Amino acid sequence: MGRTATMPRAQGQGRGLRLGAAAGQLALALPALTLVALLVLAPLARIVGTSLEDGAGAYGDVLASGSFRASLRATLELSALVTVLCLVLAYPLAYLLNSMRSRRVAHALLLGVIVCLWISALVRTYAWTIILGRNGLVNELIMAVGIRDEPASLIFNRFAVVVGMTHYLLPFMILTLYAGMSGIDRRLVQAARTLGAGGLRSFVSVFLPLSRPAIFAGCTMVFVVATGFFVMPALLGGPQDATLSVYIERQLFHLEFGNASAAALIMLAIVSAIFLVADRVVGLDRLFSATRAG
Amino acid sequence: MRNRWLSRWIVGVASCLCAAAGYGCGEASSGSDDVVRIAGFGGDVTATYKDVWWEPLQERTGLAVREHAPADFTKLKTQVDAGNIIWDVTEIATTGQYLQAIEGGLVEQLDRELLQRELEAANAGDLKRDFIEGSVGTHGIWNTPYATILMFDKRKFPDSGPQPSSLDDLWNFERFPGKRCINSTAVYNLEIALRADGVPREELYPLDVERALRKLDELKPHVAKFWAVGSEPVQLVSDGECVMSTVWNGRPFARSVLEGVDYLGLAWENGIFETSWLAIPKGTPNRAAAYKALAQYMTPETGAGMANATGYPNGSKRLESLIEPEAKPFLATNVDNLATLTPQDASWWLENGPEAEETFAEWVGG
Repeated sequence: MGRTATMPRAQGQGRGLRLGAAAGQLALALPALTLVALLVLAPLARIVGTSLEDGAGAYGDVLASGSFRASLRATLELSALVTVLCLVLAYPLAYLLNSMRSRRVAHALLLGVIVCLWISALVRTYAWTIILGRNGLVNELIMAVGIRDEPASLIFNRFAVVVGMTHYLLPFMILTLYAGMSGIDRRLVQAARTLGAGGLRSFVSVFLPLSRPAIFAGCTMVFVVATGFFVMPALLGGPQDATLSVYIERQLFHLEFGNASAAALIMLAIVSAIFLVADRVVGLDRLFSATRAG
Repeated sequence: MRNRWLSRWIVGVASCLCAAAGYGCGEASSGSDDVVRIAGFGGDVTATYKDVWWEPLQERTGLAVREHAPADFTKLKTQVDAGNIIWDVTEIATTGQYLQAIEGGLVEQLDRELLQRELEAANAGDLKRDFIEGSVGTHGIWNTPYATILMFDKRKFPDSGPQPSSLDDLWNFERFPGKRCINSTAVYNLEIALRADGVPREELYPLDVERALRKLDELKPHVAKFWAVGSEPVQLVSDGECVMSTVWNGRPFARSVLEGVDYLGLAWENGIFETSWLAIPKGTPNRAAAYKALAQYMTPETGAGMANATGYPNGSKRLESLIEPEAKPFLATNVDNLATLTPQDASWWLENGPEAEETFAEWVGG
């Protein structure tokens, strides 16, 4: 589906192609390719080199380390939970934004989502400590209403990290879903309605399956970004919430460059594997055609 | 036409890359006589450097300081490994790291004759006579001697009643109920736990890590937060997240004396004495300037200026008359405080630090 949707466009561009134009196209791609090679692939190759400095020793050390395994588990659990929460929260909003009659209102709301992206993670983290702290806003409310006599532990635990990360990553999910949904032909839903399907039925059988690439795009994006979080787990979390970034930082602090590189590469392998599975399930080209539609 | 666009693209990309590369490399070649590049940890301490260290240095020698922050041990190693030195003087956070830097060949061995000449020029005193024993090492000088001590909330434990008087009181849950905060790494915890468990100070080393963790097991259910950043403890106690926390002594000094907060109480007994270091990265092109900067840091005026503004002095013995009376109780080098502190044995930490930290991290997360 994604492939057939993109093919005509590619052909349209390709019509009347001459050899010189092909070279021109390559030249257009060259700066980006050069940058990727120099700034992504070259450092990555160095990290691989560093991780192998004493054979596979660093990998052995890392895999045998209890704190590495704990941080890996915390990273995957947190990322998965935050991804699901973002999806549940973002889907209705993205749907609403796409269904609005008034483009102006929709765009104003969208702008609100984008503005959230401009606030730094550190500022948000401190804001959450004020809201969730022992003498914070939420606890004051709880005690004023009389639900509890003592402040609840809302911070320095997994709950606070999940709240903080979901808050930070929600705009990524909303924007990806919105872009993907806006490429869905709404006449298909109308057709289902005219054929007698109810509102729920036409949504579940027509719109939801069509939005699947957008869901996968959003989830992949949020999950991958979530695996790299450092500040929020470190400042809002408890001892069980030390993520892989925290582990890697600690290794670097002790000058264990090999261990840090090995841990980073193991994480990269895991994220790549997840990406490939997503590819198997939906197809990466669909994934990107979903984002491109916006 | 097309070819011209193409060549413009290539020139554009090439110049971007050169600019990016130059950002890192260009500085290395700036071995000049009038600039010294100093890497500090940033924050209040670095702001004070400007007033009490860098300005007097420039007045006396004409050397301008270019500040690099934050100093980072990892970056020091990558600079030396890559042979691309961009700092002439760097802070090193702990004695363990200082020894590690010597072992790894990351810092210059000090030329004591040259340093003595520069000390005379700076009127900083005599290398043999005027500095605390150990404060001038083979490869560096004391930067900020500091202590990990106990800070408690006087709003919970007012002057009228019993107050924590020792780090041991972290474990005194009946007398001083409430949550605690401790540091998230082994190096600021193990000695405290062993002292609280009754190990005499002279028998601490080699540290019994298992025994320390058993003692810390008792504390763990009462810990609200394992802090990592120096600014956290004061914030945590002020916000009421815990009633007491371990803390580095300069933080409550700044809050109490400089900002006038009156509810932070301190206990020094069985805290840990440590120091950060200033050293010269190996292979710097500005060696002469680096020695001038070190000598300026070692003057009594700079040491006292640091102590009065941050709570961290230098290694000079001639500070006494220059330090404000209200700063004195907050200094780790104050004799009354020093007598109650455990001096950390950095050689044990150099040898056993990584393993102890890994064990501790597992304990924290477990």
